[in-house]
This record gives sequence, C-alpha cells and structure tokens, in this order.
Amino acid sequence: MSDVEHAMTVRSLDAAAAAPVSLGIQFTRAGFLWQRSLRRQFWSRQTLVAVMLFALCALIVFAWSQQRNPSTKRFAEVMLIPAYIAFLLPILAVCYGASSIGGEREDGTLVYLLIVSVPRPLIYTMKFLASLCLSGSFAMLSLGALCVIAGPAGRQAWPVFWPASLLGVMAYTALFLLLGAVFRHGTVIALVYWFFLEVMMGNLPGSINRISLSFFVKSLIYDAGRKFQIQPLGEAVQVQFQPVSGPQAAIVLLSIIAALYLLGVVIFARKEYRDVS
Amino acid sequence: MTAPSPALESPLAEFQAVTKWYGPVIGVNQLDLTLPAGITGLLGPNGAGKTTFIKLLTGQLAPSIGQVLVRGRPAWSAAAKRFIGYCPDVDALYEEMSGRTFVRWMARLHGLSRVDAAEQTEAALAEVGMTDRADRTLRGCSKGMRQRIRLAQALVHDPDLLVVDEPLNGVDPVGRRELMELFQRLRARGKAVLVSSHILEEMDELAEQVIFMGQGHVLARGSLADIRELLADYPLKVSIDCGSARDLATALIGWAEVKSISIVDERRLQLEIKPPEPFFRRFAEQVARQPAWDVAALRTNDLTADAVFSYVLESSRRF
Repeated sequence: MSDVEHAMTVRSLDAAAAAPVSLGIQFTRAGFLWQRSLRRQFWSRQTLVAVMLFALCALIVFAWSQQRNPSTKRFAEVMLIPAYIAFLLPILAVCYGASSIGGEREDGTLVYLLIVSVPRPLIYTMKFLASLCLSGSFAMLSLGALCVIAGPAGRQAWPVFWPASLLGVMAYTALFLLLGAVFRHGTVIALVYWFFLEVMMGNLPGSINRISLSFFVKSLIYDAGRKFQIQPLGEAVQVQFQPVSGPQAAIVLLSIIAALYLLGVVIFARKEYRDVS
Repeated sequence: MTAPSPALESPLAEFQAVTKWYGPVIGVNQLDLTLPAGITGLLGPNGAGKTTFIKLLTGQLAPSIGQVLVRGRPAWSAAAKRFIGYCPDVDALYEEMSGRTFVRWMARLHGLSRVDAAEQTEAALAEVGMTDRADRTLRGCSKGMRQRIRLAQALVHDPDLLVVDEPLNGVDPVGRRELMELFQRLRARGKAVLVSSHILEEMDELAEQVIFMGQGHVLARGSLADIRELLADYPLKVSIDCGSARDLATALIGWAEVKSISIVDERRLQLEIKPPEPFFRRFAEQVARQPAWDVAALRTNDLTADAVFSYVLESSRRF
C-alpha cells in the first residue's frame, strides 16, 4: 500500500472511529461474530464428543429395534427418554453451551472479545444464538436419526418428542451458557448441575423435581404422547410424577430460556473477567 | 475542509481520581493522570498496580471510584475500544486459526468492512514482519511469531493508542530491535504507545516518558531525566576514569558538592554529588586547568530507569 493510500485509509478509519456506529455496522459485526462462533464451535472437539455419544445411542437404539414388534410406547419409555432426553440432550447443551463463553475463558481467548468495540450484550447474544443453533440442530438431527433407526415405532415418536427436545435443549443450552459465563470452570459446573439437579433431584417424588428442567421436558412429552400412553416407567414413579400440562410446560420452558438469556446478558455486560490476560 | 470531530479532540486517555478495589485489597489508588502522546513506559514491581492500570485502560475492569476515559468515552464502553489496541502478555490464541485469519477476524469485529479488513490485515502483518508466515496455524507458530500476531491484531484497526503488556519477554535480540523500531514508527505516525515492562533497560532506549507505579500509586511520571531532577534529595552517582584516582580523590574531597568518594581502582573513582549542575560546571573548569588529573571519561549510570526507579521507590517509602 502506498503512503497516500495508507494516509487515506487512516483518515477514513479515523473518521469512522469518531462517528457513532451505525446500525448496519453493528448488524454486520453481529452477523460476523455469530457466524464465526458457529463455525468455530462446530469444528471443535465438542462436536466429536457429541457425534461419538450419538453413535453410542444409535447403536443402542439399533440393537433395541431388532426385537419383535417394538412399540412406540416402549421406544419412548425405554429408549428415548432415558438415553436421549435424560442423557444426550444435556450433553449436547454442555458441549455447545458451557463451552461457548466458558471454553474461551478457560483457553484465555476471551480477552479478544472483551477488547473489541462490540457491545458486550451483543457478544453474548451472538454467542447465545450460535450455541442454540448448534445444539438445537444437533438435537433435531440426532432425534430424527434415532427415530429412523428405530423403524416405524420411531417414526411415530418423532412428532411427540421433537417440540419437547427442542425446547429442552434450548433451555439447557441457555443455562449452561450462563454457567460458563459466570463460573471459571463452567463445563464442570454444568456437568455437576446436570448430575445432581437433573438426574438425581429430577427423579425425586413430589414437587421437588420441578426445580429440574427435565420435569418440564417430560411433562411436554407425556402430554403429547397420551395417544401412545407414554408415561414414566414403574408404577410407583407413575404415581409420584405429577406432570403439568403440555402448554404450561412449554410456557415455563420458554420463560426460563428468556430469563436465562436476559440474566446472561446483564451478567456478561457487567462482569469483570480478572482471570483473563 | 472539515473540523476535527470532538472525539478526536478529547485527550487520548484520562484517569480521573481512579481507585480500584479487589475486595479488601487496593489495586490502584487515587490515580489522576492523562496519558501523553509518544512512547510511555509503565514500570513497577510485582503488585504495583500495572496490570490493574492496563486493564482499567483497556476496559477489562471498571473503576470502583472515578472514571477512566478514552477519547472522552468510558473505557469500559465498546465505543472507547475502537481507539485502543491491546496486545496481552498471555500467550493465548485461537490455535486452530492461521495468524492471517485471526488478525482479519479481529479487524471484522472492530467493524471494518471485508475489503478494509483484508487491506488492514496485510498492513498490520507487514508492520510486524509476518506477511510471509501468517498462513501457518497459530498452533504451529513459535513464541516470537505468536507475539507478533498478537501485536498485529492490536494494530489492525489503526488505534490511536497501542497498549503492550510485557512485549519483549522471551523475544530474541533481533526481534527486540524490530519491535522497538515498530514502536518508534508508530510514534512517528502520531500514535501513542504504552509499554508495560519489568525490563528497565528497554525503557532507557524506548520510552520518552515513564510512569512509575508502586503500591497502587503513581509514584512519579515524566522523562527519566525530569524524574531524576525531581529527586533532589538523592545524590547523583558518577564515575570518573583518570590518571590517578587517589590524587583526584584528594583534590575533590573538599568540594561541597561531593558527598562521598570511593576509589574503585587505581584509575577509577566513584562519587556521589549533589547538586549535579554546579559540580559539572566547576569540574569542567578544573579539568582544563589541571592537566595532571588526566581525566579520560566521566559517566553517570544514574539516568537509567533502574537507578531512577530505585530512587523513586525509596523516596516513596520515606513518606
């Protein structure tokens, strides 16, 4: 670049720096950040982990599908709910939620997001959307694949499970993204949360299990799966588990997603990451 | 002809009564300063508050009291960051990216269009001498190359102020020279550079002014010579190479400006003098009249950052 060209570029950059940033530029930056976050997380070891775990679930489903007359009810209760809803979905959310900001923090690269002239709420929003896209897409693709592998029983389960799975993975992702932004070892905290609150407390009797996200996901499934009489396994559990209605569960999950997003924006906008740089 | 925008007329960076606490620990205390143009060195021992200073300036921390302004805008705000380029000392990068991709990515995040980002990326890489090596993934780059890439990302959006944290750590002498020349070029283009360093010899050569920090305070600031002059309490150390150290010592011992003499060897004296100006004047007259003194050289090591820094710290402890 000649000196004149350099001077002209510098003058235009100076003028651009002094002027308020237009909505168009913000939109462009936002889109670029979203795209980069999506691409970076997709081509990461988290995707490898997710694929491997999906492959494991697929093998189990395939083995199960070889039995005589597999029913949609059995497929849902014995396969999808324990293997997919209770296991794979939260793991997907950990992979793409907790590692989004939490992973950058652990790697030390978060500093580069904190020193650019992009408002922090916008950074969080783009990370949020990228994580939701990835975890949501993966959840739907894996659910679809499992339903196809399971055969006709699986294909009938698809319309019952996909809304609950989508809302569930979005809620988990929103939560784990927040945990990654708040805590230094967000991935570990997310896994601890999943094990203690979702797996253990989510299966406790009474209303205490309503503190878990899985309660509302399962409520959605049981509501949508009434045609197939999908219900919790075990008579005792059936008595103890008091689901809310499908619409109620959906509203709660959507509210939780919105609340977690807004909380994440506020926290990320104000938090000082002293451990970075 | 258009008038300059208000943002560009505001001081580059200002600390206005800034205090920062980490719980019960004070990081910086009552900082009041405006960052000057040119190359400024930020010096201080561990725990002095240099890192806090830099993080406040680059908007990574918010002050507990007071405000930090960059071109009139709070340093914490996104708008202020357009004017600052920060090269962190931590060797953390997006390992899977190439250097070129990373720098261009930062340019895009700073709001440059695709075309401008590509142009500025090449300019920044050329500035740091990485044009031909920037296509390697960062994982495969040496420490020096990674340092240069970090510098490039700090320069790509043509900031008014470059903040560099410990830039010469682990860099070979040739690399150091190149980096120092880079800072000089930036200064010549009207940019300000703030260099934080433990290596005091770098400051001697590089910085036009220094900010000394200690215990969360700015202990002194200005050029090394100006700071030294302020420390009137402290005698200046000089060494003299001469024909006979003993004879010269005998001649100088009665001078009021000479506070102490030590004979280093047969041909070298070490003196502490205060005040320096009258001594130098008188000494110059006498050297002309006393050829027997056979003075070969007169040196002071005292203007180095090391010496000044020691004095500044010592001086602060007396209060």
